[in-house]
Amino acid sequence: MESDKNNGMSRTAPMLEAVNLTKRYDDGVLALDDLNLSVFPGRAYAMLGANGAGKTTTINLFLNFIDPTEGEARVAGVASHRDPLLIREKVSYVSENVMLYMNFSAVQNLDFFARLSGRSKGFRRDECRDVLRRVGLEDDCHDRKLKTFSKGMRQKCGIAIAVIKGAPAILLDEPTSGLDPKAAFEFMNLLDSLRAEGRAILMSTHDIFRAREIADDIGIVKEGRLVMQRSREELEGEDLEKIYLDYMSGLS
Amino acid sequence: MFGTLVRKELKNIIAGPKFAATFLACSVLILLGVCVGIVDFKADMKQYETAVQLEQEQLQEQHSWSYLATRVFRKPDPMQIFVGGVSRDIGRFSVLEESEAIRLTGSAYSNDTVFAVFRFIDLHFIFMVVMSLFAILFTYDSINGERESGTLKLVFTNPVKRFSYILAKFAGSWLGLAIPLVIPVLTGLLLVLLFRVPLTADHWGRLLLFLLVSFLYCTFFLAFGLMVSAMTRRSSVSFLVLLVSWVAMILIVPKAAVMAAGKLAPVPSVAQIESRIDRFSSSEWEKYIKGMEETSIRREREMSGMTEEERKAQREINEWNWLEESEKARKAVETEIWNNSKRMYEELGNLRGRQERLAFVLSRVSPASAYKLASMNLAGTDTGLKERCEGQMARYHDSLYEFATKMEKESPGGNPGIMVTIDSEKGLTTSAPRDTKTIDTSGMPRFAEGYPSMSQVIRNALTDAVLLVIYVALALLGAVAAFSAYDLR
Ligand SMILES: Nc1ncnc2c1ncn2[C@@H]1O[C@H](COP(=O)(O)OP(=O)(O)O)[C@@H](O)[C@H]1O
Ligand SMILES: [Mg+2]
Repeated sequence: MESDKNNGMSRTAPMLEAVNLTKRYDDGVLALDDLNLSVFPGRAYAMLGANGAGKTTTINLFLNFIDPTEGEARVAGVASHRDPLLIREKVSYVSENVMLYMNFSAVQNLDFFARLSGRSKGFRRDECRDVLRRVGLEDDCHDRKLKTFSKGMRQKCGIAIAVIKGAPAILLDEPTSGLDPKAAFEFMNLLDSLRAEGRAILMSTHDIFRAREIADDIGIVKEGRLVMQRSREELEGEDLEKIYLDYMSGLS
Repeated sequence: MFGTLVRKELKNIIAGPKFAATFLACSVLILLGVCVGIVDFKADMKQYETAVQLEQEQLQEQHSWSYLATRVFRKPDPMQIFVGGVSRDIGRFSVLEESEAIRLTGSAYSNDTVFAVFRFIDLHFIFMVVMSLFAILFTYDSINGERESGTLKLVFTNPVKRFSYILAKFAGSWLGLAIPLVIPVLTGLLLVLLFRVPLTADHWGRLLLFLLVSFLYCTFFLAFGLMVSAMTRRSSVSFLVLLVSWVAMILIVPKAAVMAAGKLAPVPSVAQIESRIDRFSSSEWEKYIKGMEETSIRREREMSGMTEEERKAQREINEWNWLEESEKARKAVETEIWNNSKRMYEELGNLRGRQERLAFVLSRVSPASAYKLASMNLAGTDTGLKERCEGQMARYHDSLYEFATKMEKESPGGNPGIMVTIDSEKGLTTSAPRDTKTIDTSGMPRFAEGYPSMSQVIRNALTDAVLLVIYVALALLGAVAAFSAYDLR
């Protein structure tokens, strides 16, 4: 239902949009400087950048965990700092380290966050199990407490929460860092299927290889500025790693 | 949404180790406290009943209404099971004698000093010290703990209002604490029924109010913990802050209030009062002697022109007058001294009362003090107990001796004097009269001590109960305000 609507809007209105987004922290650090980017429904955008480039800041601005100094982070056309409750219905978030309630089982965690998500659609308990299976968590661990889960399993739970929320936009902050190659591969497949459903995906990452594999658009952020942005088509046949390193060393 | 948050909070608490530990500790402590309270009360009651019985028998052996001396006993109040208060510090009985003032003596602690060392753990103490600590333990990491574990951020990527979240935190932890409190308390009340503790309807009402106030007190610490948790980033910091505040509220503030009251409203010691009385009396006597000297000098001067004969005659004429005059002056000095010392002691009493009130007012800065005062007032074991009891005994004293005087007129008992006989053979012998007729005490008024009524205790406890409500409201408001500005990252 949701995805139908999004498909109808695709290529016309961006789901996630940063407009002249600037953030100066209280201590004077200019973390983001006039950043502009758009993520359309059914497309994935990968932000590449070194540590401290401003990737997490961007995502926090979209979620309105911080207010922008200038510019806007818009979700479905609404500036996030104007109506945080509304935009939080429309985005899901997966962090670098998904932290859930350790005393609850996977199903209990998923159940809780699904109820919080403000989804208007009815919610069934066995839907939790379906979603857990979909993200690759087998039945035997559905009722195990989260404290027995490995990092890969926790990341899968995190994406399960984003899936069950059914939000049109998904923000991911270095979701595959620290995952083993197989887990990272499975994770990326999952993202791919979500994009295919028509969701807009904004992901920050250090992983040039995976970014290239999944992203429709790739942006390189350096010291708070977007120094390069190209689509998959534009990058065809180019060596992304070389481009990245050149930008980092200031050659380009 | 709110329901979901509360349910999650409660489930999270129950699944955690805090809950089991609290439940266990509460059960053991509350049941132990109630049991010890019941056993102590039963012992006190037995002692009271035996003493009253014994006194009755001794009364019936008295021969005369004119030298009636007896003792009245303070009836133990079953509320002391829950709030010991001053019940074991003040005396259990007073000696009744016609011209003696009522003074409660023979406190439980003065008789069994070991009890004073190991003061009993009543429900009030358990709530004041232990439960408040558990309440803090429940909420010290409510907010910053979730931030540290990363769940706070994830929760707020959903359309959750901060206001609902913090209230749900409060409601959830309140329920989480209420379960391990209510179950042992109810079991304790069952014990009270089982052991047939003589509780009147008023007692049950007062007990219920005391429990309500106790829950209010724990609620304060829950809300306070929540507030501190929402004002700090790290749970180790909030725990430390809360622990220090807890010590300050429970131990330091009440003690400091008493000390400050001592400084602000000083009360002279009894020794000081006595030395003042002494000084007054010696100065009065000095004045008196000086006056006497002056009079005699004046008299001498008046007689200076007289012959020896005339002087003698003058002295003889005035001897009685002069003696009477000096006697009157002496009497006046004595009365003045007596009045002064009465005034001094009255003033001392007033000053003490003022100091006590000031100490209470100052100590109410701490919710622990407000709770202590409220619960002692509800239980009737407050600092006014001694005065109330002595007042009742004084009234009984008056009615008893009125009755005794009347009885003495109607049927004077045997002569209690000592007979002295001088016999030429046996010499001097003394003997008490062998009058076997004893007095009939059947119509004698009995000392019937009343327990404080419901309306009375409510009036006494109202200030502190309202104060507790205010403290809870302030802590909650503080928590909401702090969390509305909380950095969720
Ligand atoms: N709360 C904060 N206060 C001050 N400076 C911050 C804060 N958070 C991040 N920064 C600074 O902002 C810059 C960007 O940080 P961040 O967005 O976390 O980078 P990234 O996620 O790309 O590694 C860094 O220089 C960092 O030190
Ligand atoms: Mg980051």
